[in-house]
Amino acid sequence: MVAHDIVGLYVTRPDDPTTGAVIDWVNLYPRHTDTVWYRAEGADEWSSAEADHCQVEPSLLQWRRVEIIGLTPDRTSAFGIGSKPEPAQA
Amino acid sequence: MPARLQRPVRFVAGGDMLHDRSALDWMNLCTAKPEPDFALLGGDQAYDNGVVATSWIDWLGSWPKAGLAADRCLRSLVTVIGNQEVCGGHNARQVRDSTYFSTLLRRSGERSFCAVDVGTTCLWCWSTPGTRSLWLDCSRNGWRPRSHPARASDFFS
Repeated sequence: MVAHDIVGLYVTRPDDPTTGAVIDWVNLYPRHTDTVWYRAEGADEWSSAEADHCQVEPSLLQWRRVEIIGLTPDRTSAFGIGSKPEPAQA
Repeated sequence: MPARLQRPVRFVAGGDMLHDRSALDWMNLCTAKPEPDFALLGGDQAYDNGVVATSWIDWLGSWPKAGLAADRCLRSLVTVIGNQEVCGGHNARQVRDSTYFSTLLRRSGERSFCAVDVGTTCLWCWSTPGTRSLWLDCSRNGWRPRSHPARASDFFS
């Protein structure tokens, strides 16, 4: 699977929208990764979280969701799905 | 989102979205222009009537156009179910019959309403008249917005 081979990617409301984010994505791959990497804008280190996964029956849509907590209010965070993002090249 | 309202918080609101894909793409692009903090989508997003999964493929495929247009930030979705997300469409009564909405946007669960705290302000959202009785029933069973129980009591009196 390549990065753009995804049906949908969206963010829904967490319990506390000031310090959390819920990341959802949908594809057609039951064995696709469940791992999300994230960090605050400007931070060096990435953290990871594992998403819940289910098939949206009776369709074959594969839905994954992970809630990330402990973010800084009113600050942009970055995230990636799958392998840990490579450090930026100097 | 800010913890306190020390700056203007913007949101866009809409619904009745997927009449055709090109119109949906154009509308989603328009929602990104004011750079909202979140989007409130109040029902009838994909018109799947609880059974048409391909409607959600179109809807989900179109939505990132709204968030990734300019600054590559995904806008948070606040969604409320509409009757066109439920088996039976116009005759729908049971929120639990919304196979796709209830899974893909699970935050709403079997409720036809939600409340969003924005700083010290609470935004109440609910959907069609056909599901209003369920909303009231849930409120009587103790569901309240997180930070404004007194205001909620006033609202239901």
